[in-house]
Amino acid sequence: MTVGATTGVLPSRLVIGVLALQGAFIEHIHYLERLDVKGHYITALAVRNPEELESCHALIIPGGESTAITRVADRTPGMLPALQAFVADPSRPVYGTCAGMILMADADGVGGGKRKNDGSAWGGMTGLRVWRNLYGGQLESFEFPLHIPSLSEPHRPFNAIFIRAPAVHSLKQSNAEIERLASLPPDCVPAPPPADSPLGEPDIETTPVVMLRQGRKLVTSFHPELSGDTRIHEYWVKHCVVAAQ
Amino acid sequence: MSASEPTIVHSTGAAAPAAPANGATTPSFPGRSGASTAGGTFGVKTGLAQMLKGGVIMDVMNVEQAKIAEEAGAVAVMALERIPANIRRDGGVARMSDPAMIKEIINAVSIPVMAKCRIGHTVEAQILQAVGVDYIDESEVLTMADDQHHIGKHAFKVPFVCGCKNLGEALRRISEGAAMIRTKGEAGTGDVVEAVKHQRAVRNDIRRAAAMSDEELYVLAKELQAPYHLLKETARLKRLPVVAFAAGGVATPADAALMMQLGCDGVFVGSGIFLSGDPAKRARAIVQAVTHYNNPQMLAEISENLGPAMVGISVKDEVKTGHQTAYADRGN
Repeated sequence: MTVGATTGVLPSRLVIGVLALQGAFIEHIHYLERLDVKGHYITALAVRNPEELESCHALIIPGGESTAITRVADRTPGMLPALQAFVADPSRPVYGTCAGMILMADADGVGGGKRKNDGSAWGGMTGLRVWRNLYGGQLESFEFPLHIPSLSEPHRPFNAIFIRAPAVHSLKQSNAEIERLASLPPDCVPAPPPADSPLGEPDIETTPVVMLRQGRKLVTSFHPELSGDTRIHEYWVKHCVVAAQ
Repeated sequence: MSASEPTIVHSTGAAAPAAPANGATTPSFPGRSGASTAGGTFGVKTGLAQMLKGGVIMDVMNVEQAKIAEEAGAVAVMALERIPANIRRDGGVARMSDPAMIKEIINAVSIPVMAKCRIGHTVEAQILQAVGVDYIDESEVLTMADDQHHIGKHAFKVPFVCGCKNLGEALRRISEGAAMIRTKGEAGTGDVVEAVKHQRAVRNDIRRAAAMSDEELYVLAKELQAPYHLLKETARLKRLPVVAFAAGGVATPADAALMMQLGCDGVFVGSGIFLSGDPAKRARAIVQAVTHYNNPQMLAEISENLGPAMVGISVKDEVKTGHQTAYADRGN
């Protein structure tokens, strides 16, 4: 989509899709509608088929059950190849929260080595490997006031809600550098997973990292759409979507 | 905060502020001291339900069925020894399932696992929390353990889902600590009429409330026997302040899509899948129908060649005439 060779007088229209196959997509749409980005007006669109995806400039993959989102995508005609092509394109801005982070990884495995990665990951963040549910089940879900220096008002903590959250297993170096934007303190991070992990040796140093950026791609293992704070969406739109078109 | 986001404040167990919690509410589990995290807050409890939206939660009786459900794209499974239609057939007292059976299912799937306890049976709920289920359904499908009181659900770290027939009942359950609501419908019948009735009743009351002044809302709160602050919040949001699913009698993809068009956030399917001719296929079809509920062309394709649906029990002919137990009448 052409965002417009405007002279800077007229605001350009940005269509940001939110994948609406399953999960908490409506919250992301409400957030996007609240954003005020200078020089642009944002249209948020619920995306359920390849035609709707085609009309989007950028995409959010929301939280939900990653297995369910994968299965529905597999069985919606044309959807899976369209999604894979979209997220793999480095020029396409994509933001994944929780389940979205799992789907944007190179590979994923269930925490505790319960099962091998079933090929559900769609890619997008090159070099990222993810543990599903490493933080445990619902009884281990928690909130934490996270320090994120890159956001506006960096001194105000971000109330991060972690629901059966995934964790970073390891980060492989590639051409595109992965920035670590936020980490949990060590006492909140689960114990290293057992050695029989289906993903191989984990990198313990990366386990506390909960927010990552690679070019136009952003992932968080928590749910900003549940805390009533739009600063992460604002960051993504500013730095990954509209910056240097 | 926009008008579209819930800001429920409970008299007890309030939604947690951003500040680190003190030791009293700190979870303790192996491998993580978690000294500065807040677990089991209302935000965390309702948060999981938010992630289940647009999805299907399926009743399963063993590991094999749980795997079929997960493969079909269920967002969660409800582990129980007998699905509602079989409880109906067998009669007698229906209780919490064997924890060993629930644990097997937890170990077999990566999606959340729910389990049912009897209405008012605090100890069954404590046991299910100890087993490590992700959600508890305080369910009218099981025989009531207390015919006056529901469980005080704020005291638990695990979240609860409860059934309702109307707005007053939904808000009473939320007031007790339920983090998710579902219609009661009439479980184990395969007749969707009661689920439709309950969903329409909730929506009707919400529309009424949304048009009212404060003075009128006080009167409505009395009429509905609902806490005023929750009614006020519901009127402001123009929807229930927690996630609300359909349940009780959903048997086909069209039933599921109907409930979604009536404004439900997702669907529970109890007996409808594993009592049908081809459970795996029907399970997949219902999952697709809940995503594409507004696309009739897609629904037509999804509904093709599913084999026989579960044999239904007409609510009007069997339940209302007293030949069958009305589960929806349990609890209020």
